[in-house]
Amino acid sequence: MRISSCAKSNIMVIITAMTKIAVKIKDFSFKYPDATVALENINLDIAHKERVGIVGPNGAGKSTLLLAIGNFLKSQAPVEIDGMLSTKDNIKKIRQKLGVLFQNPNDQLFMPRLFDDVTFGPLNMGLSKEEVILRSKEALRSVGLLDKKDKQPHHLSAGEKRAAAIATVLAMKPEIITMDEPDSSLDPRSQNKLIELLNQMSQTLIIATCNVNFIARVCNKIVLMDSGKIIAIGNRKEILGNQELMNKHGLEVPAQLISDD
Amino acid sequence: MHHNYIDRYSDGDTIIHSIDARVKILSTLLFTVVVVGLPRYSIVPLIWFMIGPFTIFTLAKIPFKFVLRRILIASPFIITLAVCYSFIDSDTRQVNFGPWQMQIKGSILICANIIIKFILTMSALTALTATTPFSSLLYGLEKMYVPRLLILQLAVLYRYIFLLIDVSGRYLRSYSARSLRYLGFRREATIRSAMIGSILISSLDISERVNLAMIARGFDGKIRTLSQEKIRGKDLLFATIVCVYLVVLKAILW
Repeated sequence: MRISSCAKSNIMVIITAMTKIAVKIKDFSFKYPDATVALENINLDIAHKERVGIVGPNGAGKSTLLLAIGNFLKSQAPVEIDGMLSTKDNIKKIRQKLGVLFQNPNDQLFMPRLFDDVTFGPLNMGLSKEEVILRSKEALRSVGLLDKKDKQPHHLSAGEKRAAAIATVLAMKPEIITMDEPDSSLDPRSQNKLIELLNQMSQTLIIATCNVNFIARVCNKIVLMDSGKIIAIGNRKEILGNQELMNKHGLEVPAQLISDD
Repeated sequence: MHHNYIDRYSDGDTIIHSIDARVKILSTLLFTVVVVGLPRYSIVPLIWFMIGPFTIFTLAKIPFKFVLRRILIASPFIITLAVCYSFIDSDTRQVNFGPWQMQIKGSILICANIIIKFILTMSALTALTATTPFSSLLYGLEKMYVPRLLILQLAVLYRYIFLLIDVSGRYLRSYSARSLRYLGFRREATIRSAMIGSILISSLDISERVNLAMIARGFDGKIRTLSQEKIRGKDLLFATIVCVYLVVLKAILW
């Protein structure tokens, strides 16, 4: 089959767009004030629309890496988000592009009413009131909590709090979303609901967790970390399916991959 | 964990719950000003003012036990204050209880007056907070030009209360699970001080994480909120009833 030069150039444009870098980290290191090395020489490129799972044992530096991606850590090596460096002028644009879901949903839900919490981000983006209400309702509907918009966050269950926290991020329509242990303290039914929700999302997802069974059902690119370093990067089967590698770093091969074999 | 002892009844669907927060705040303020401004030796007329809060509690289906508990929690401070004030007047005064007349010491009258005024204003405040969700109260305050920074602080404080209750509950449960016998006052005091210290450190941790969450959603120190509710006919009717009630009562009794 012959492909015309015009079609070729179109394909190139599509491929370039598809592989556009969403997050770029180069030689990033970070030490805590007590001199503990949290991240050491991190190099990572994440393309748009990729679903990246960061796995590793406790204390591997997964959460710190997410903080670095969220531009919350000060380091000599800057982190690029969608080609933008974290400068004073860019930080607002970066915050709009990058949604951050923290480990504990209680930290994310700080307003007295769920709807106020969801509108907090869009209002800070300077959107019109109509747009803010529209986005917030849409976000709550997508996580199945629209009927609970007037509830106080402390009256929600753990699964609902997690979904509500996701809605607070979705309302800002970010292109990239980082999630720190989104599956923690969720029962299997709530986990399945969350997986279903995550698999419907079209954003670039960066998820840190030590639950390999969860990550195997959501992410196709895996970053294995241990002791503040990136040990391996590869696709789901290459990393999560490698029993020797997983055992060496205190993890297990996910049940799903064992049954696939 | 679910906490419902602070704002247990604020999500009700009665007519009182549906009144605009601004109207309820202003009515409470007006009621408080009128009650506090009443003569300091009057006792019996004050009791008529109880009809207002009593009607609100009945219409809003707020149990009186709940109201009583709220009043009792705040009462020690006021009782101390009332007792201190009672020393300033040793004269005897005549008090009318309907057809009966009694000679009572001025100090006792002042003491009773302060306590009744406290019960009335506390009841009005409870009527306000028990029938209005906290978010609506904040919204009402915002519309009444209370500084937005203060509103945000109140909003975050309200959330923190529940988070701190959670943290404190976890510490207490963990302590009682391993506390098999009384260790003596000194040891127990040391343990409890350490727990309070840990709770404070936890609260600092929480505040740091909440701050990060706020920054992540574009917070730059400027407070932006959605204000869209309008005053309706029933809100105006409620405000009119409160005003008429207070004016009539004041005119009849004084």
